[in-house]
Amino acid sequence: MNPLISLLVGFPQKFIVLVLVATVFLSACKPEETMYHPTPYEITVPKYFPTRMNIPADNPMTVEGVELGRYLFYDGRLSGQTEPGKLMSCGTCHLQSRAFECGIDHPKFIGGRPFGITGIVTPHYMLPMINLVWNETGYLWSGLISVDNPNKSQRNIEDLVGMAVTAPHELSGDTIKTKELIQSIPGYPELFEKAFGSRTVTMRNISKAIAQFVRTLVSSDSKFDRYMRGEEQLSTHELSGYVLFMTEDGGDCFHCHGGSGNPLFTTNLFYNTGKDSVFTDSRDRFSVTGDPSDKGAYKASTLRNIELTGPYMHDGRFKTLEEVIDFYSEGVIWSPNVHPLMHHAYDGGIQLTSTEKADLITFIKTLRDDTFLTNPAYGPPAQLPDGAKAVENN
Amino acid sequence: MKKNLFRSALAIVCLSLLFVSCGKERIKSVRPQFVFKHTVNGYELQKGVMNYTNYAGNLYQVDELQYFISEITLRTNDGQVIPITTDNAIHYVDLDIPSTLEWAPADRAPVTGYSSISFVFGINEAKNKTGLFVNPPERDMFWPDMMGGGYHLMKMNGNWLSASDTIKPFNFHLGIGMIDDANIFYQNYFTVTLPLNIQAGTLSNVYTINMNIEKWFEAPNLWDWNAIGGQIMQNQDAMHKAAENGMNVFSVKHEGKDIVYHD
Repeated sequence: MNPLISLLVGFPQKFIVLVLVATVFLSACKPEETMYHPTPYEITVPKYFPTRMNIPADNPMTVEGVELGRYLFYDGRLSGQTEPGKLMSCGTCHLQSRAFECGIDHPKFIGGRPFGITGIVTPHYMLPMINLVWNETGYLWSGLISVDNPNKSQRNIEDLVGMAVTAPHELSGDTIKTKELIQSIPGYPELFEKAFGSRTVTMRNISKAIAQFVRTLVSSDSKFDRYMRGEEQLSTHELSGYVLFMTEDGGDCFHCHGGSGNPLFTTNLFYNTGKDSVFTDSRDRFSVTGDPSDKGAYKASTLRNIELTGPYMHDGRFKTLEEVIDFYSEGVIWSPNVHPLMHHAYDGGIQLTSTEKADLITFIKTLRDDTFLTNPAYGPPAQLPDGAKAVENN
Repeated sequence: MKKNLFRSALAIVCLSLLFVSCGKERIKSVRPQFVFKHTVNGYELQKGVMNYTNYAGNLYQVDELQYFISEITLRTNDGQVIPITTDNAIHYVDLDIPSTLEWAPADRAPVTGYSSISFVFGINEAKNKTGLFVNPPERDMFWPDMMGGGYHLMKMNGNWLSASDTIKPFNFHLGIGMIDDANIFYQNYFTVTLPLNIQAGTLSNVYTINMNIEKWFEAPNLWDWNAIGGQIMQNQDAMHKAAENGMNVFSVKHEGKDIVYHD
């Protein structure tokens, strides 16, 4: 008889002892109780906002992840370097007071054109970081970073973080240096363990944490929001501008930029608005879709806080809102690529009077959200995990 | 001997069960499925190509097409009306989103003979209210509150060659209309009824709804963009005429397919 069978059949007492010993042995081999108990972070959906959010299944929002992401967003050592002058973080260019663009009045990025740690300028001007958790159609002016991108490393905000760390026109870093430096900073390993269950810092988890923080940046308390909620009235000029914004015979802004039925104030879709008639930019929508009708098309940016996010358009050609409205009124250039919603393109634009232009701008300024611009939860922490100073506008 | 008898009986019972379960089931009801197609003069629409001429002689192209379909019902040969969107589902069709070009509502319909199918083009007055959709792409069909609110019933965007040989954009948009800024609103949704010839005992659960785009511009109202203009959201008379033409725009074909859902 097989000795094992004889154990089972003939010696039940031995078998019981064996099981007990094995149980004790296996229990002793179990890993130690982990500290990984993340707290789910619930994004409160403001009234009229979309209920569907762009949160990847492999990066659920947690309180610990958001906290870590905020530190990293404002930590200049994200560049992988520690020497003064070589510190650069997301917060270096993305200023809360400028709706997370650098702003046209930035002391370093003259005229609102940011450049990376090596001095190379970015290919395009900035887009604001507002309500990005509700963007399902792709990030950047071209929408390249999209869940539909066949390249798995170019699908969401997490991927943008990794790209920013290495891009020559941004942090121009090395992900290995970055993760090793972050690993060496006291306080971070504990924060990574709380957020992701491991003290080992990885570039992917750095990206996930920053993406979680960025997804918390919600703007929903502008004067117009309060008007929609019945909490505040718009002035006569603001209402006149609102009517112009929302009517086909007026400015017809709403088809692309939303309004009462779309409080994001963007469809997040892509349009050629007639800025040019020849299209040579290798980063337009056509570069993503390959559809010739998308040449010269770019994402409609949100108009929330737009008065603070100049210069305007992908190439920053307009310095002020007044210049933008003048363009849509008289400066549109017709070409076969102009989107048909630009229905006055053939006669140069919507032909607004000076009063109408002023009213339209007055309305657009009701989309400024000071609650968003000053929310302490979105700004730099008082100090970084090791007590170092956070970086914003540095 | 008894053992053998028992085994034989058991085998017979098992075989019987096997044959019964493999036999063809009598299908009592199916989930109707819809396929949305778009043609011009019998050929599949080619987007962005200016090679169509409407009945008024306007050369035109279509770049985008988005619309809603709701309240689908089937009428049996004995006159019974079978609703198949009892969950109030409203379906959004978008040429640029292939997944919207097919739809299987949740309801089932008896396998029997049918004489017609009806649906609402757009959304009825009771349901077409702002806030109905908060998520894209349906959300982006919203219609300004000051013009009646709710949602565009349809957006067809494109270009036409004007009388002055200038290419001009058209935005053939249908929604709630108003006249002279009065606070009286006009609903422009309409019900389409199309004949079917489905005999009892025939399995026909897939309906191809075809939008014959040229019909929007044909009758009863000849559509000349040079006279009407390219934008009609604030032109209730034009939207009304478009809706009248829309009654003639659709046709349907039906076929049976392998049934996935059955009783």
